[in-house]
Amino acid sequence: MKPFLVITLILAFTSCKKEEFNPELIKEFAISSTTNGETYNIWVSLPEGYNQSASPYSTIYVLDAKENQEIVAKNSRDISADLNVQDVVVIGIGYGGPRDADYTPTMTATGKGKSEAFLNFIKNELIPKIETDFKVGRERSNRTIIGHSYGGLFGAYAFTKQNQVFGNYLLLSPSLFYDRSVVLKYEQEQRPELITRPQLVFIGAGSNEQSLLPANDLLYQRLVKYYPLAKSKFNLINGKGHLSSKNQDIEDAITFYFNNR
Amino acid sequence: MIQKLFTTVLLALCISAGMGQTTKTSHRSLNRKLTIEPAIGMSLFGNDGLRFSTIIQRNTEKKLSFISHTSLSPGLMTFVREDVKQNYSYSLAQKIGIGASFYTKKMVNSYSFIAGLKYSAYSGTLQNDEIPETITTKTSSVSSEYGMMYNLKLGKGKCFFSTRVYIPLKDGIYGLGEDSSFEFGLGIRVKSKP
Repeated sequence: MKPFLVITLILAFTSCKKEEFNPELIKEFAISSTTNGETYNIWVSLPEGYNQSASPYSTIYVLDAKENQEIVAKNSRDISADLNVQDVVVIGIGYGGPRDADYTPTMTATGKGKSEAFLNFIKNELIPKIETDFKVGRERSNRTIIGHSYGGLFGAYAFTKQNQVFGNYLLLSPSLFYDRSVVLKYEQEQRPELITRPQLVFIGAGSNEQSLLPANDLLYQRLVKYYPLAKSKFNLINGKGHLSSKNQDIEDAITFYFNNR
Repeated sequence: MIQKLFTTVLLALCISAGMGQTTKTSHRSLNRKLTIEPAIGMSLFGNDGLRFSTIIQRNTEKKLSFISHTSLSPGLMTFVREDVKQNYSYSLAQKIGIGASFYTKKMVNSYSFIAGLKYSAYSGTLQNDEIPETITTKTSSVSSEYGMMYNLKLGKGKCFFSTRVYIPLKDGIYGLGEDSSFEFGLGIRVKSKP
């Protein structure tokens, strides 16, 4: 049995080789918000050949950056290469305030409801800095936001409340049930304005996410019914739950983005 | 990377734990049996709620055991949303596998690798006074499952206590959070080898 154990462990370690990004293509800085007083660590993953490119890049802003930034950047690099299209600049937003404050729109027992201030920080402070310091497009259609769970909820909040900021929304298992589906009510209120803009909206979830699904299903049905200028997709990952669906959902969302932007 | 490392180390730990349990004593009354072990259990992290399961295990002479694990999760105690009415929710899983059993006077420790299929179905209706639409969402899926099961049988008579823990190896740390389970029940030895 011992040789078997040794072989197993050797195979494990050799198969665990990490795929490294060129460190020169990752920029890190902290930014203190005058909007909400929090300090956010920001990671910017630049595409290969960034310095040689003459044309500006599109951007993807990633919530829960420590968990999701690397996989979003890797998928963006691989999928854009496969499709032979220009890669994007990926901006990861670390935690400043508590996650359940920045990502939730209203105060409840499970969230502190500071989304408005967080979104204003992104719009008024982070995006201007990114668009000044890096070679990226300044149009709404160039900007994408991606988030999972409460991050997806925040993405949906941004879609309804400040739709002029981002042109593309990749919502992964978004917690739209939050506060009795309050974001769906925002969508109803803002719909006359929202339907006038072209946008991409990807809603993904695992098929085993059960009670998370109906609110997401309804948002998708509304997009199909009322938004003639939007391209949308409801992506169910077969047999997966809230966490196990995430990585596949990220890949599917990035593919949807590159195929439809 | 962490997921691969975690699952591999877990596998190695189970195997090494099993090696440590080896005893030279032969307990033939425990060994030569077909056992049926119904149990009730729940997800270790509360995702699927209650589940009912049965293990059928056949031991051979050389510590080898063949195992069948059937489980039904009727969707009780799952997450409840204020404005979502659950119409139904259940999952049915059937896994088979092979493992090693190690015997002492009063207990049997079994370590098995099991794999199979899981069928899940759900229907829920969004009902909210402030939302004009009422929408019913239905999903069903068949997915593969595989993982390690540790089964502790306590008692040396015809009936015994059965306690088991299932650790999924699929989806790494995420699968661990969603599909790991603990089950407790009674077992009976129903057949002796001649």
